Amino acid sequence: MVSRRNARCLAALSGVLLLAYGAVAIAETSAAIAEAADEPTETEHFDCRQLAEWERPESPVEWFERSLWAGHCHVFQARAVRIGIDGVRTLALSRDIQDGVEREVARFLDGPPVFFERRGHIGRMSWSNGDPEVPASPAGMARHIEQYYRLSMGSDERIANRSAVRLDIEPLDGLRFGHRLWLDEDTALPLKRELIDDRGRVVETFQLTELQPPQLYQGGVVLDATPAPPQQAWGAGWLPNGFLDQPVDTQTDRHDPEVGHRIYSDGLSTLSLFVEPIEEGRERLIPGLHRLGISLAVVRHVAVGGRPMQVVAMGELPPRVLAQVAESLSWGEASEAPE
Amino acid sequence: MSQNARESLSALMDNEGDDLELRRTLKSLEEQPDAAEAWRRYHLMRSVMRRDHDIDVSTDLSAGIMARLHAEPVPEMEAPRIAPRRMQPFARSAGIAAAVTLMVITGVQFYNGTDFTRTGGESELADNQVPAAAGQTQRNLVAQAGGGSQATPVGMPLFSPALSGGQAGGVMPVGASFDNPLFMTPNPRQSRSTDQEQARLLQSYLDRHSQGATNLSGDVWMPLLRASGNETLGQR
Repeated sequence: MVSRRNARCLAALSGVLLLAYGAVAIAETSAAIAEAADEPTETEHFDCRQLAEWERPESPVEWFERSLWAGHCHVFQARAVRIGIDGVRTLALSRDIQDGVEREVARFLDGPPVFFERRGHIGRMSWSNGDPEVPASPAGMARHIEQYYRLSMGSDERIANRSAVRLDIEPLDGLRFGHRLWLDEDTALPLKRELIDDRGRVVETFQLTELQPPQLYQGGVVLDATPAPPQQAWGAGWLPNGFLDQPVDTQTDRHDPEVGHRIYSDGLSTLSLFVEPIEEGRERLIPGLHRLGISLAVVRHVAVGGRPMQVVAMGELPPRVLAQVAESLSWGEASEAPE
Repeated sequence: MSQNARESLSALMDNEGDDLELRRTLKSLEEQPDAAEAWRRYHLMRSVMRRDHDIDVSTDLSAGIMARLHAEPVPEMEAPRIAPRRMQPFARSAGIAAAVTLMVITGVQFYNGTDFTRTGGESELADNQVPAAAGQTQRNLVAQAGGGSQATPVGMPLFSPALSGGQAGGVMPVGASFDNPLFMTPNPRQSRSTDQEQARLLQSYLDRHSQGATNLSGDVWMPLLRASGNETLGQR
């Protein structure tokens, strides 16, 4: 069913592009992602309207994939709580889509008036590596996580006054955290999520408390282009099984452009590697294990090809995993001297 | 139970006993049934003091137990001459921890919350932002660090208890058992301002990590809320 639906997604993708040109026909048979030939940006879209026609998911992995598409394709306003290491915070959430770009805004309703905003697209599962047909992240990752997690359905529950289906996602090894999801029975939107560490403890909970009726977006959401892989010489020499190099480019004004960032994900857990030269006058982290909220970072200072470098391995992962990743970087042609 | 046996038991529990002491104690346990009972009580006492959630309460937590704990002579008070040996346990325990994990971590920095990234009014935050309902352990940590500020890094154990198989407790994956005195050590290396700078700097990495994670993990909200906020992540 998954593959059939994927083919249908691709067909509908073609469809929305054709519609953009005023064409009436819907491409039912196209198996390839069509591109708008004479549009300079060649933006691809995922048509959210097709979700209304999809059959109800049955297996746990179908529910998981549906929740990813639903998360991209719905527009809603909600209230939520986040229960974490700093206690309970209440939030107002808003999600909309403008010109195919998703926008999420969250605002704390207690404490200092902090807001969080993000704009984004539907991602790709990997760098292009010369392959023009990299699967969209939701379709690719849903099948990918099955190899590294055990997915099972729990009993139905009620969350935010809606019927929810519970999905338990347990890692098959001790190298990543588990998740528990409560998905809206009607739309498959995640209503509640728990992050469970390698010792079985719930370390973070996010839960909607009130959901205004979500609307399915009547249009296309932009799919990321398929970028070529980065040219960095360095990369992770060891990763837990299933962690893939991700096509994500991040930046912040607070970092020098020399601070390189690579990001790896197994579809649920994310691991970041930062590498930068250590220079006089620039701030650096003290080597060792740092912790901020539930995120951990292992910091090392190493000499590579005679140049001192700072390595930061960061994520919501068991500390030994981060330590091992930080210890086993590959440096391309340069080699690491003993510390 | 003799005073010697009591001392031996106490020393063994603090990982101070040598082989001779171990043999002597095992022998006394055979000969004196009450010594075994004391051994059990000492462990229970230690667990209670550490708020160890994993203690076995199935055996004898009846109404009289607290009274018996109070009545139990406290070995440290009775035996001041063992004090010099107490200089040893930290280094030794830390060594054991390192051997168990096979991984040397040179320092653990523990930053409580992310509100230090807000500009201005930090002293107000310190007053207003005492974490709510985060569990007794965390409040203790904040108290130990000498202030209620969210920005205060807490504790500086040489080895993470989470790495070395420390006992579980609360919701914190690391630092859950920072109240284990064996792993506590003062923080002589850094001033509080250095800690704040470190925490701020770390948050800049976490912002980029979170930005990436919102694109990947199938969940936007949880990673988004780990960032420092008040700026737009992703396409601008």
